[in-house]
Amino acid sequence: MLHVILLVSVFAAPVRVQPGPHAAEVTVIARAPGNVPAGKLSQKDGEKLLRFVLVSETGDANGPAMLGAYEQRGDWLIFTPRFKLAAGERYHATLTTRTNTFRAEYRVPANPPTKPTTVAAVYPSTEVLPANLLKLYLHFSKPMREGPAIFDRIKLLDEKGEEVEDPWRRTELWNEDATRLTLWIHPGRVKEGVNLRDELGPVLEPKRRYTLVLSEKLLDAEGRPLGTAFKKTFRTTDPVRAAVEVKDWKLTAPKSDTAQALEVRFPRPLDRALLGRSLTVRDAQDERVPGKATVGEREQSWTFQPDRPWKAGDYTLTAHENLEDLAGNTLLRPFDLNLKLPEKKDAPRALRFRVGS
Amino acid sequence: MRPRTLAVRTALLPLAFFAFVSAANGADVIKNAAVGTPKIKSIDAVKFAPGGVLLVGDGPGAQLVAVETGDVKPKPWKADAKTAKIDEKLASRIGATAKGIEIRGMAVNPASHTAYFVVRKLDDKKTLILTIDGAGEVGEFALENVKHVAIPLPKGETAPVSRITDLAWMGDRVLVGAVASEEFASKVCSIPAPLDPKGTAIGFSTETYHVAHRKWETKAPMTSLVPFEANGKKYVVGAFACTPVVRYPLDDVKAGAKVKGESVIELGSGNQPRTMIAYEKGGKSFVLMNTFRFHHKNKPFGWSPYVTFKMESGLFAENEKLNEKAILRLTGDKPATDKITMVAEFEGTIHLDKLDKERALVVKEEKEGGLTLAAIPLP
Repeated sequence: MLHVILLVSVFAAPVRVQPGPHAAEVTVIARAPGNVPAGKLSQKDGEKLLRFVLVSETGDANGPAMLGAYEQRGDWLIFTPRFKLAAGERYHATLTTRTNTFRAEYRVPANPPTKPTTVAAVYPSTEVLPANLLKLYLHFSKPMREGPAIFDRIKLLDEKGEEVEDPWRRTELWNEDATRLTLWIHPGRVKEGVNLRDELGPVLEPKRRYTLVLSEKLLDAEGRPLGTAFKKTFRTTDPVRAAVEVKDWKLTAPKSDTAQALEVRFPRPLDRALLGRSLTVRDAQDERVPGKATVGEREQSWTFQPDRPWKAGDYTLTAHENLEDLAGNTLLRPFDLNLKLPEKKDAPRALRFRVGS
Repeated sequence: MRPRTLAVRTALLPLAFFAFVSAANGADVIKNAAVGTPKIKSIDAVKFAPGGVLLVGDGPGAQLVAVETGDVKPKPWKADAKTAKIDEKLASRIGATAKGIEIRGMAVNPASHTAYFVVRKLDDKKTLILTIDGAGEVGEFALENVKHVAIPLPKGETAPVSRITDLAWMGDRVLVGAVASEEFASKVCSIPAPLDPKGTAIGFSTETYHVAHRKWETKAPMTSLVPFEANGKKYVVGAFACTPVVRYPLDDVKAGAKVKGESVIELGSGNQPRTMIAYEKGGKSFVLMNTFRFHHKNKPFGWSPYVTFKMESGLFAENEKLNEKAILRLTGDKPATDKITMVAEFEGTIHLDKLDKERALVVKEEKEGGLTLAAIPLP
């Protein structure tokens, strides 16, 4: 009996906000004024009768009405917001008739507490980095909140704990789900002779210790802070200003009729993301060998597990010419090369190896 | 068929920036368009082609999408049009707080003078287009059931395009400036007009002489583009961080080419260009560029890190003072030329486009806080 009474009173309300399966997706249902024809209404006409508005921090509910679809169905005027409502925010639905104004309030529940987002990995993973390090990859356990504010929440501290000024290139480069940020040290402070480096000096000096600090205030996509700051301490070596040389790589060939992994070791760490996609294995017929590649510890090795056992014969490991080390040096050229000099167009890109018994 | 977008030439200077002709038809810009909902992963940048055609750069989706908006009826703005707290106004229309959105870009439709904003909802990461017309009305331009073409950008061999930095309608093509997440590389794509889903975009890279370090620099990505024509030849003028302004010849660009640019202006270190617009005033043509000054704390030019430079476009037609001889804005801390000036009225400008012949439309931060949308006379 009580349920029936409640139901009747709800339906009697001139305006109400009906949550959908998700609390942030609602329908606003209002008693339609008599002079509105059935069917869809334009935003402009709908707003004159029914406004659905975010209540501001100061409690003001007179801001612009939300965009959405208005429709007159029977005795009811239905408004469906075009966008999801924001978690934790209040909204007012206001129905204006010739004689009265009716209001309903709706609060979207705040997101339930979950395990805080964490820094899952930082690459390069090694703790010894060249002073002309060009970029870092920051991996997070959940999608992060994008926006340029992130560059102010990632600091680089020197040995005295003092902040290095303006270290980052402030161009946001996220992967698609915003779980990885590519953080560039400003190239204008990496390249020798660039005006910015001349004025501010390099970001990293050789043979020093630095700490990368990701603030606990860094927000994930749902607006929750990390809660705990992340720190990575590393020391620097002299800058590396030489092209990547394939001839310096050490390759361990697998045996035929086995599924042994091909292993390649590099004299210095390479860029993790590029390494993951820049090496290919081909057989004597120049057919690509299918298999799974894995980047090794400190990004100083690469292994390739073939899908099928190796056949005896000659193979080639080929690197793309744009594969970089940690300082942006590629197979073609050092990052700092004066391009008035001829480009090294014939840079070796391949290592041959034989699979035998 | 060549689109009916015209290159305007002044009697005094054999150079010009492309102007829009409001009567031009969107059909001249796009061809073989489909009606439907383009699959867009993220809107990085927007610009307009003639006839109300919106160009949408989708970096994660590695594509350019051109959409006929049908928005071609001029709706003039009041002389002193100004909207305080523009971020709140846009956000509340989609039920979000100002902190819950990011205004990623803005382009004014020259056919209607309506401003189109790229807005990202930070909670679900969706990007969408909101509009404000001359009457201050905020709406959405929904990219659903629209007449459009989508043209894929060439795939990078190693690192794919991650973000589109800028777009430029060139009259006979669209240029797309892009960056990769994993490579410090200049990626530029050229798509011939009319924009046709069957057409092919070609990718090329650029070589830029970075005046300050007196070495060729192939890798720096362009952050801002503006089309330019001089002596019957087409160029794109690109701007880079720290801040060379470079012109690139476009007449014979082929896929995979390295196009050598000539630096014409050096604005100095610590600046990151955001937008360039071309305009004419008093019989002369100019380019206005707003930049983010990341060197602001160390060496501020004013209260805001967002500063705007006005450049005489005659500088872009320079044939003598190039590269290491390129004109500098400053010698030490003193102005080196009166042809490049900083414009105080535009201080704080984060987003910029040309509103009409006399005015720019800007989103600027205020000294006292907050973001304002304002129509400001072109300097």
